Amino acid sequence: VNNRLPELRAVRQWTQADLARHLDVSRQTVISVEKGRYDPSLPLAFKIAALFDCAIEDIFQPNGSR
Amino acid sequence: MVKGALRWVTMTLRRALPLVVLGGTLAVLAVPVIIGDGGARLGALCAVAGILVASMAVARGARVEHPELRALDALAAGAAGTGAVGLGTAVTMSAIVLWTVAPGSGPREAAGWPGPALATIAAIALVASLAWGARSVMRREGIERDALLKATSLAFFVTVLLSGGYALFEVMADAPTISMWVPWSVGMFTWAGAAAVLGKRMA
Repeated sequence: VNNRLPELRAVRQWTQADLARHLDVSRQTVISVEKGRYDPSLPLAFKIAALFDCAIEDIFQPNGSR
Repeated sequence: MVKGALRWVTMTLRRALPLVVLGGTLAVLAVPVIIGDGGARLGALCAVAGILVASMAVARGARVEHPELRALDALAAGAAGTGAVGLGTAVTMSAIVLWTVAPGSGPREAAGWPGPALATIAAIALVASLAWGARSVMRREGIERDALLKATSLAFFVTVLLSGGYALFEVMADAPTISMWVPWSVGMFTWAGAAAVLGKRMA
């Protein structure tokens, strides 16, 4: 799953540690999600979407679709 | 008001209890170190080391769950992730084994209180470190929880398949009976190895 997390995080000038703290996950998890190595669960995806005030599909897209 | 008072008492106890238990445990273990024979001293020292390492892991979990526990920060800083739990487990188990096999401190000779007391303390440290460590990992979503679940699942199946397979040889081909520590060790090594590999791969 591709995602726009680094982009959205940069807009808010958050570090990966900041985002991890907001989401109550480890920094390692944020790194893995951003790199696309770890797909977040639906509750975590909703949490991320709510944090950035947008829809899940605005942040996450299936591989190959842009 | 009663509810508030109860909450205050619970929080105070929760904050103080780990330090009280740790201090009391170390004080109890100091006795065989001072007055015991060689085996008892070695066993007690290993148990102290195991409990300290396990406590670091527990403190780390506590700090994650309760950031207000600043008193445990110094202790928690020494814990290097879930590896501390494994190390604490290994050292604590070594203490029990040493206590059992050391000359003059076997189960028959150690009829007094130090043997059972040491075993009880080491077992509590072991179970607490594993349970609390696992609980703190399981409570937070992320790659750590996924790696733990997958490694646990893999270790379970490897242990069941190997011990089940060997049981057939034992019954049908008169293979020697193996100690209970063999499947335990296989399970632990598989779990530790799988957790390390999966953690690296997912990170």
